[in-house]
Amino acid sequence: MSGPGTMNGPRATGAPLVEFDDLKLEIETFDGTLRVLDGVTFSLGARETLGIVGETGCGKSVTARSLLRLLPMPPARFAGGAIRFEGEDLTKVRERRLRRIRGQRIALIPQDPMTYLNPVLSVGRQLTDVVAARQKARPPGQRLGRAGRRRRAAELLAQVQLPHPERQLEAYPHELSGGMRQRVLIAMALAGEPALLVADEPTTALDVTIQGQVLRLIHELVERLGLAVLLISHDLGVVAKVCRRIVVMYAGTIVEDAPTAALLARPLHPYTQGLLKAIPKLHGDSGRLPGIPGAIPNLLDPPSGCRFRPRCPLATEICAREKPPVVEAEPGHRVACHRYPGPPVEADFEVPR
Amino acid sequence: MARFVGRRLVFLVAMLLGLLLLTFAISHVAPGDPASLAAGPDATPEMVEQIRQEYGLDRPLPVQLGRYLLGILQGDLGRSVRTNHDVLADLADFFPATFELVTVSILIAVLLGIPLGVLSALGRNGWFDQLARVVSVSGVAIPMFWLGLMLQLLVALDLGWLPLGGRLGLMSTPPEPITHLYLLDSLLQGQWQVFGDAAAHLLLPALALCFPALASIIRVNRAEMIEALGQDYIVTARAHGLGGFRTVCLYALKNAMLPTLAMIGLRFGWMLGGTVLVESVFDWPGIGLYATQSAIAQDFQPIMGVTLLIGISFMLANLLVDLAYVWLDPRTREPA
Ligand SMILES: Nc1ncnc2c1ncn2[C@@H]1O[C@H](COP(=O)(O)OP(=O)(O)O)[C@@H](O)[C@H]1O
Ligand SMILES: [Mg+2]
Repeated sequence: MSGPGTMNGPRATGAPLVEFDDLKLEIETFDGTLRVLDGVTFSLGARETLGIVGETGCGKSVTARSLLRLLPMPPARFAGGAIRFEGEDLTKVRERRLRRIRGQRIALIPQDPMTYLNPVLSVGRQLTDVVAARQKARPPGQRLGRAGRRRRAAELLAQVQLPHPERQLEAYPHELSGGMRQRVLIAMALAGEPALLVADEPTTALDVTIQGQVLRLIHELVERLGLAVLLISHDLGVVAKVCRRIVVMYAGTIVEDAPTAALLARPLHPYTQGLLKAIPKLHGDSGRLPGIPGAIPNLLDPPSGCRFRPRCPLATEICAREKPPVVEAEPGHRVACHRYPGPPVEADFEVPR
Repeated sequence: MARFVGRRLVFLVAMLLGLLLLTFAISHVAPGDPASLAAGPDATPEMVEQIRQEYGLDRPLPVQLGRYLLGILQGDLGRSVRTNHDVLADLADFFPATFELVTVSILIAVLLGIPLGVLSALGRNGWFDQLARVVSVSGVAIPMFWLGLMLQLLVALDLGWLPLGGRLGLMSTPPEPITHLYLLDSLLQGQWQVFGDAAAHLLLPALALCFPALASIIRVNRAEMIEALGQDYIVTARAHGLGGFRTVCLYALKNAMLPTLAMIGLRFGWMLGGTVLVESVFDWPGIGLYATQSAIAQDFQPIMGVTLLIGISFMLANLLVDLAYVWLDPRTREPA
C-alpha cells in the first residue's frame, strides 16, 4: 500500500459539515453514571475523510452513534455541548426531523455484518425499503415506483461490486458471506444519497483477506461520490489508508487531531506515541494495545485532570489537577496535553515482554 | 419446501400410529366392562356375552387391535354403546361445533394477543403494559372451567347479557347446513338474526377457552418483541431513517413471530383438550361434550374416536404452524 493519504485526490475542505463541540455524554447504569464522552471536540468538512482511532472502549462507537442519535436515551443522555450538522444541533432536533437526516444526510456502515441485517427479510426488501424512505424527500413527480426502486437497489448492489446484483436481491442474509453482507450494508448506506458516511469498524468482523477489499471499496466510493467519511477503527493502519486526517481518542476525550502524515511522522501526545509503537502488533482483532501498559480507566470514576495520566510516563502534578486544554501545537495539528505548547516530548513506554 | 412437507407428513403418519396404539391401550386397561354396561342392569349373563361377541370384545388383544386398525382404515371407528350410533357419524355431527368454537377462540387469542404483546413491548412498564400483565398472569393462574363458570354466573345469569349455554336459542332454527358452522352458514344465507344469536352463544365459551392461550401469546410476544427491538438490525433500520410503525411492525415483529408461532401451535393443542371442560360447562354440543357423556357411560369407542380426532387436529394444526414457520423464516428453507 502506498504512503498515508496518497490515495486521496484533491479535496475541498470549506466550512465544516459536522462540528462536535465539547460534547459530553453520560450513560446511567446500575452501578452509577458512566461519563462516556467528556468534551469531544472535532470537525469534519464536506468531502473530507476523517478517522477516529483509539483502544476498544474509548468511546468511538458512542461518538458515531450520538451523531445519529441511535443510543437508547435513557439510559444515555447528552450532558453538554453540541453536534452541529448543516446548521442544526443534532443533540436537540426532534426525532421526526432526525428521520430525514438518518440515512439521507448521514449514513452508517455498522461493524458486524452478521447481526446488522434482518435475518428474516430478503436483501432486496431491506434495500428497497431504504430506497423508498429516500423517495419521501423528493418532489412527488420524481419519486421512483416499485420497479424503479428495485432497479435502483440492483444498481446499488452493482455499485458495491456484488456479482449478479439482480439475483442477490432475492437472497437472505444467511446465504451471503461476511464480505458480501458488508457490501450489502454499504449499499444500504449509499441508498439514501448521504453527504456523510459514518463507518464504525467496517472491516473488524471480516477475514483479513476481505478487509482490504472492503476498505478499498469504501475508499473508491467515497472518492467517486464525493462523500465525507468518518471512519472509526481501533487499527491506526486501517484509518491511515483511507483518511486525510486522524483524531485520536482516549477514554472519551480527544487527545490529538492532526493530518495523517503529520500524526504518523510527529505524534505529539504520549498516548499517540504509544499507539504508533504498538502498530506492528496491532493487526490482531483484540483492539488492545500491548505497547502501553495499563488499561482504560473506569468511566464510573475517571481519573481527575487528564484521563491518560495513570498510564502516562510523563505525568506531572498538574496533570492530576487540571484537564489539559487543546492547543494548536503546529498549524492544523492539535493536541490536549499539558506539555504543549512547547517542544515535542517523547514518551518512553516500558513494554512488558 | 416439498421435501420439508414430505418429511413432516411421514412424521405425522408415525405419530398417528402411536396415537392409535395409545387409544387402543387406554380402552383396554381402563376399568369397567362396556359389554355389561351396554346390556343394562337387568341383562342376563348370556345377553352380556352376546354383546361381547357382537362387538368382538371376546377376541385376543392382537386380533382386536388388528381389527381396530383395519376398521379405522375403512373409516370404521366402532359403534357407540350408549347412542347405538356409528362413532364416525356421531363425530361428524359434533365436530363442526367444536371446530367453530376452537377456531373462533384461537382467532381471538391470536388477533388480540399479538397486538397486545406488541403494544406492551412498545410501552414497556407503562400502564398498558401493567394491564396486559394482569391479563397474562391471570390467564395462566385461572383454571378454564372456573373462568367459564364465573362468566356464566356473572354475564349470563346476573347481568343476563348473553345466553347461558347451548349453540343456538330456542327461537332460532339452525341455518341450512353448508359448512355446518353456524356463523358461516347464517352469514352465507344472510340470516342476520341467526348469526347474531349464534355469535352470542359462542362468545362466552370462546372467551373462556381462549383466555389461557391469549395470556401466553401476549407474554411470549411481548418478550420476543422486546428482544427483537434491541437487536442490531433495528439499529440499522433506524440508522437509515426507517421510522416508527413500519420498522417496528415489519422488522421486529417478523422476528418475534417465530417463537410466538410455536406457542400458538402448543396452545392450540391445549385448547382442543380444554374443549372437554368448556363444552361441559356451556352445554356446547361438540365432541368435548360427547366425550364427557361417553366417559360417564364408560362408552369406550366414542372416547377413542374423540381422542383420535383431537390428535389428528393437533397434528394438522402443527403442520400448519411448521409451514408458517418456513414461510416466515428463510433460514429454515433448504438452499435452492
Ligand atoms: N448502552 C450502553 N450501556 C452502558 N455502557 C455503554 C453502552 N454503550 C457503550 N457503553 C460504554 O461506553 C464506553 C465506550 O464504548 P464504545 O463507544 O462502544 O467503545 P469503542 O471505542 O470500542 O467503540 C465503554 O466503556 C462502554 O462500556
Ligand atoms: Mg466500537
